[in-house]
Amino acid sequence: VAERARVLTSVACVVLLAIVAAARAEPTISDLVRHLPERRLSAHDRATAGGRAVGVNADFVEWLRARNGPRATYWLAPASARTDAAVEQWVTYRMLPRRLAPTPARAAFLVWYGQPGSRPDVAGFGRPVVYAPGLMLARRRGAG
Amino acid sequence: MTIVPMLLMLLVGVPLANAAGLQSRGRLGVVLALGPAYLLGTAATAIVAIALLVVGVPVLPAFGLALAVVAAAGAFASSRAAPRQELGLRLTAPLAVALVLLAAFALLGAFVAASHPLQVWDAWSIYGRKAVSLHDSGGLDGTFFSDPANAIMHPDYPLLLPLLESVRMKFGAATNGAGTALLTWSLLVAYGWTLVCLLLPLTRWAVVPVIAFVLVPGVYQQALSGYADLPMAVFIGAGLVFTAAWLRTGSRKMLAAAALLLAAAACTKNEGVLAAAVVLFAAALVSGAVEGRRSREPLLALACVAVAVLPWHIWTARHGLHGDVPFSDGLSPSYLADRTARAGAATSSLVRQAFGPNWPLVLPTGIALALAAVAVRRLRALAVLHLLAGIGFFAVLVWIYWVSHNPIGWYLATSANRTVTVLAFIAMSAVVNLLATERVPQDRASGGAA
Repeated sequence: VAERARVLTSVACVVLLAIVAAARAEPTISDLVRHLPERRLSAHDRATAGGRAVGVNADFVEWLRARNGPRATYWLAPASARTDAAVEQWVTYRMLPRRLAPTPARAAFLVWYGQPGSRPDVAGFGRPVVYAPGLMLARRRGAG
Repeated sequence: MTIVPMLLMLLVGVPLANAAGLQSRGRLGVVLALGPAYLLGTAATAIVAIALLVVGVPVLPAFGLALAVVAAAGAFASSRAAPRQELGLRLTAPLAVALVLLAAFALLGAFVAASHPLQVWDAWSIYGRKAVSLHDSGGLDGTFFSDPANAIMHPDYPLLLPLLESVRMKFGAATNGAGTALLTWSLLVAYGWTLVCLLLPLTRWAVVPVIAFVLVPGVYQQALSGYADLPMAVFIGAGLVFTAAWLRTGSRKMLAAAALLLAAAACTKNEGVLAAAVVLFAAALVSGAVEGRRSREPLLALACVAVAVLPWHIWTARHGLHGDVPFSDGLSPSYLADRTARAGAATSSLVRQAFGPNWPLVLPTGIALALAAVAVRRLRALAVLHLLAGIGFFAVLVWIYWVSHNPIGWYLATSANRTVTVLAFIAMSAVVNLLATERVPQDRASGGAA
């Protein structure tokens, strides 16, 4: 009796999983096909997709990367940028190998990721270069 | 060029698969063994390379040396392997069509994965960040891992995925993470291939659950995400399949392959150590019920898993890197009693996820087959192995959520859909193993024993 019950359960499970396979085939393959145009994305679009997905201005971060050497250290301000998990994590990820400095005094440049209308208020940095309202880069005063 | 490291791991895995007795005679036998060969080659190479990284060897030399060590070990073990046996499988037209469909699906996914951007938060912030650091600094940089600015990347998480991705970057893969999914997708394909290799000769019906499984959202979507949960589950699932093969056949080579795969799971995520322990303790418990199986063999396999993860844990301890699971508090009855509401919330959320739309009918079929097989004497040990593994890992997950300091609502909302992945792979192992009992060819049942 136990063996017969097991065989019946096996048959039922195979049938159910065949139904799952049949039901899932079209949506899964369509989903994969929907991703195929990603092959035509530019390197820039691929690099920024993760940041855009969490609402960060990822284009600004790429702009910063292009303007600073790989060994440079930076400070991220204002404080709201360091407490916004998405901004803080995306900036520190994409800026690699450039490292976030432990204090503003040890940073070669300042990344200002603020609200439109805000201005850098961290001492020791020169005149900011504006990427967009509230998004700026400033180099340490006196640095070449 | 970016697939060269993957091809090299496949290459060094071939003698390992041969040594494990997975290669049968004939072209089909050789082709079927490529799936487990890739998993075994990847597991062994990554474990050795992580140990070399920890002692200061740079990424590429560590990878190259690891390949050489694994190739030499594989060649030695393979030279002592028994002659290859007949596959015991006739390729009928329906079976050929099913295998071709699976292969086409694998290729379509690989085509997508090769250019898929790294979009999912933890994938870039944890694993992508570590891979970029390994690539840029050329090795393990203690100052990077201990930098408070990188604390959010869980510095203590093991290195298998970031290491392999950094090697691909050295071979030309994009450092922005695009294409990372090719690695995780390849592991999923190798897992399905392994099930087909091990169980198709026992029952052709094994191909049905494999097709259903790769099509469910919890599997294919995670394989494209870049999360480490799926690679860990692949290694646990395949390790359990090999453990079940040891229980069925008595072949110690199968248990050695299981230990290697479970060790790779432990080198992928911290939960992997606990999952490996659950599987091997379960095997030790049920081994007494099967003639010729000794409980000390899976315990020895567990010791091998512990040795494999030891270098990384020594390195993290030396650099003051600790995980966020408070293990000592988690064993205190008063600490646990003060937060029982968390256990309830975790249990209901995990059950909802495991039986939810991401895994349609995967767990119900696994549980139904295991319960039905418990009543059949010759299958009882196999069924109980899977039930213990499933219940044990579920308990581990509940305990982790219970004792963690993270806010429970946020913690479950951001991770429960992924952490149940191992449960689905355990269920899949139960399904294919318990279907594969109708016809056990004598040469496979006895000939594989070491």
